[in-house]
Amino acid sequence: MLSAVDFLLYLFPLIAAVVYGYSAYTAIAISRTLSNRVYRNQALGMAAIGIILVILAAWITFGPPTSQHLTGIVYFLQFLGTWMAVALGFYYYIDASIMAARVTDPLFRDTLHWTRLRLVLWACDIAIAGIFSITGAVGSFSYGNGPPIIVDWIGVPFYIAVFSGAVALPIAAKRSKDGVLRRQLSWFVACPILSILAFYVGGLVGILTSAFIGDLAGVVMYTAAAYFLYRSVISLVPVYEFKEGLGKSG
Amino acid sequence: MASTGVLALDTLLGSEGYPEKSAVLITGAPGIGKQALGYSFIQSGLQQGDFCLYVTRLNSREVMRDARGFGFDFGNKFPFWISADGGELKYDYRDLTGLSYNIKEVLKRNSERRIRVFADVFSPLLMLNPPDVIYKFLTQLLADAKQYDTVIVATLEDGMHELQVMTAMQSLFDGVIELKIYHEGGLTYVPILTVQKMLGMPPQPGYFRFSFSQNALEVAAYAKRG
Repeated sequence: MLSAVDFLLYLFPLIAAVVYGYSAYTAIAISRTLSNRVYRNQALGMAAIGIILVILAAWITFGPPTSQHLTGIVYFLQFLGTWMAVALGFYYYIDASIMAARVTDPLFRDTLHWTRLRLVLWACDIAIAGIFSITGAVGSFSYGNGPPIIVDWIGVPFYIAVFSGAVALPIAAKRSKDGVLRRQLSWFVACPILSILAFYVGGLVGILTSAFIGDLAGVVMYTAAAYFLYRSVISLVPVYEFKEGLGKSG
Repeated sequence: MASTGVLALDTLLGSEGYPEKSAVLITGAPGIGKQALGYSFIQSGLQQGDFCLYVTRLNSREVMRDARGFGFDFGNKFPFWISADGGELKYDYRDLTGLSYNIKEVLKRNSERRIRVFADVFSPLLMLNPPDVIYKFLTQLLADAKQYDTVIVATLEDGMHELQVMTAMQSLFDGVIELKIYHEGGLTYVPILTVQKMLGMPPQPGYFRFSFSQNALEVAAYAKRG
């Protein structure tokens, strides 16, 4: 029998998973209305993030606790694959957004030579994710225990996503003068920030009060992050509502 | 009449396309398909032997690549380009007088033929200049273009300009076609085309769903479900 405390700790991540799933579906629906590949990719990037975060939310709630003793395919699925997917998903969206910002930049500037730089970054991402997938899946190293050169490189896809998101994207967005893109990005930025904060705030509150309140504060913030992703998705393009009586064509 | 290049849209416009000596504005969100309507308009013009002028802030090679991505092939005929790079004349956003002069000269030199102009430069120009400067520039340009057998199609980005700027821009054109994404309810979003006004046409209250397939834009009357 679940206690009220456990119930809440299950409920909030479940709500987050539903909101992420809804966001992903909405992003796919919007992408299908767009004809330009660049903007379609941006919407699909949001969908990819939504799907990955659904998996992550489900994993946090129902998955077994991460153990330092896990190796091989279990380790890969539990830790490495999920986090690699997060890094790649975010980079896919950020890359697509920078390309979209270039199209709406009235001067059509190629921020940081992005059209070429992105290819190099993609090559790095794919190579590293590939190496980790293979070595992780065959069990040649595990969490905190493996060839240092490989373990040290595990963060590269994250650094690429963070560099793109924190440096290239703001410059491109500023140059684009595209109000729709900026609004969408400002909603989007709140999602990863709140997700990361949830981890630290949860821990801090847990130390200051009790473990339960800390965990609860964390999952509530995580659920709020899901809402911000949803707001970001519905801000991808201006969406109109049919006026009463005008919904049918003449 | 100048065919839009889309049979269903020609029919929707009541006859054979955009009215003669008219200027038509296509508005819509970035990525919705305004440019594709331009490709279709230009391809149709090239096939009919019209003189086609393409005014773009982009590189002409990128435009051609994008057009091919939609399945449009201009064949061995090409439009005359005023573009940021790779065209016959260079588009310089800082030189409105030069742009106006170049367009008028090109129109004058080809005045014995029917002329089609497609321009995607007005949204960026509105972002880089005070709106009243662009209104003045555009009013003069459209008036000059009407001295010739010219049909102008221009695009404007939805969501990037103030409402009053959009309204003022629409008032300068003879026809306005809006491409918008509507929320049908639930999880359904539909791309809808509406003809806000068109020279010589009664107001069209209908909603038309549009979609792109290879080298074809399909337009069909839309009836909201539910």
